[in-house]
Amino acid sequence: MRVAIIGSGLGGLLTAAILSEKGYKVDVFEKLRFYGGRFTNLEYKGFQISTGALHMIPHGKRGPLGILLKKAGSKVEIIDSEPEGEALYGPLSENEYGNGKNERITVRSSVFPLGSKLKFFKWLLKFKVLRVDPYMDRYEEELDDFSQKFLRSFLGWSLSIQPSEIKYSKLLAIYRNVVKYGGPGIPAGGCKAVVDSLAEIIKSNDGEIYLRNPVWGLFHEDKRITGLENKEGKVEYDLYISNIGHQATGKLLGEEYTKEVESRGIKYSISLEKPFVGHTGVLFTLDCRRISGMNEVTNADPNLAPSGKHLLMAHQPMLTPDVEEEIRIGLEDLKTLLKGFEYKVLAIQSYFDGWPVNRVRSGLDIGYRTPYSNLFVVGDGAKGDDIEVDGIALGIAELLRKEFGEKINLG
Amino acid sequence: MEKRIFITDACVGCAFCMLVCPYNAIVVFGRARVDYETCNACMKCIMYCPNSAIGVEFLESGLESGLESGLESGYQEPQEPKSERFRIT
Repeated sequence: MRVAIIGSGLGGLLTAAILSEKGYKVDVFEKLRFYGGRFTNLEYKGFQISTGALHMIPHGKRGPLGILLKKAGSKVEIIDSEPEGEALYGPLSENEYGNGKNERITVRSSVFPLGSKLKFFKWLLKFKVLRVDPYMDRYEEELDDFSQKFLRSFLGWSLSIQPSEIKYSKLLAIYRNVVKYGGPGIPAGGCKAVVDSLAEIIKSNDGEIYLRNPVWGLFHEDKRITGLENKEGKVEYDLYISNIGHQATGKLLGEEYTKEVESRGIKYSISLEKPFVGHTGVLFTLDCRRISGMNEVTNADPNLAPSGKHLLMAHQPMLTPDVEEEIRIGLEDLKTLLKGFEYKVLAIQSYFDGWPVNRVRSGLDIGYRTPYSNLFVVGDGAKGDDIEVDGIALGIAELLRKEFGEKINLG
Repeated sequence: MEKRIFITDACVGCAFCMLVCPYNAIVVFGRARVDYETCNACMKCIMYCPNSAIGVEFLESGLESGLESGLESGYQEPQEPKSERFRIT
């Protein structure tokens, strides 16, 4: 059975690697001159800058991606974050809003006031019994200040969205996965080590990754794909798996069968002389105007920066369409946060308009199926109910179970 | 023929071009901008752009003779050098 994979992002490569292990003959087509998409590194001044994701796997080695990587035979090492998360809470500088006294609080269940926890269960009851499922902005005001700000930071960091963009039921699904799988981990070598390990598996199973080889269109007949069109003309396969999202896949078919709502964000890669975060977990920045959180991956793998330097990555959602203004606010936040630290902004990367944080905003995914019986979609345009790359892995697990009869134990 | 890199509106500011530029000739702040003083028009950025947002224009040579014949026929001098634009994807 021959399988064509369109796009070599994490979703495409992971699917290709697992299918190649099962004996399928896979060909991966990539338009760019490197594989990995928004999940690899580009070296810049000795720093391993990620192309998209933050050198972090939301649920570390125990989560859906960790489990599927193991299944594919990937030997990549994932270092568990310790602590998983910390919240920087309180005014960042002395101003009309406060005295500038802030503290770092390790995130665990006990730091959230009982009243707010009870609220969460009240909503659960309302959802279970009455099917009441509003967007979270309707609920967040019922929370105490800390929980409210933490919710905003968490959603901004992990999904690049605001409470008004996620329904309670979807937040609940993600919360359950956080409880089930635990907190994040950092792959040694960064994102690139993950995709390199997958590419190696694909190649060792006689699969091919064709770089600079875009797919221009898909031929179809009676709701079946009969071939793809690239520079060689029409090439035929038995199965087609697209890693470019439903909307762009529709373009290859010459039809628009769905419209996607993306999530947008901005990432800052910062060089530091000495550590600011100081650990391998996430630092949620609760009192910033834009920055939701940051990590310092060199605490897990010093090789991600030149010797003696640290790589700090900060992330913010784009709350308005004015990208330059959003960056200006983000940089102001960073200036306040990093006061007294010697730092240099290496790169500011914005993600929107067809090259977004997520092709489909979390909670709006329509699954892997398309109107065509032998065409499926994987990647950030077809996630399961989980964060970022673990959402991608859940989508792939679903595809493998239902269409390929795979037994996958996700715990 | 002299080449010049240009950035189109398709740019979202992912900064891949800046990261791979061997001449440090690109700055990105929401969108990429080229510093023509340092750009060598090596076109590496074009090959890494995921949005096909970078192009190259070939500046027409022999502008002087063209200008002369243009003046003869009453042709107005163009504000910018005439260029042929196309995109490599």
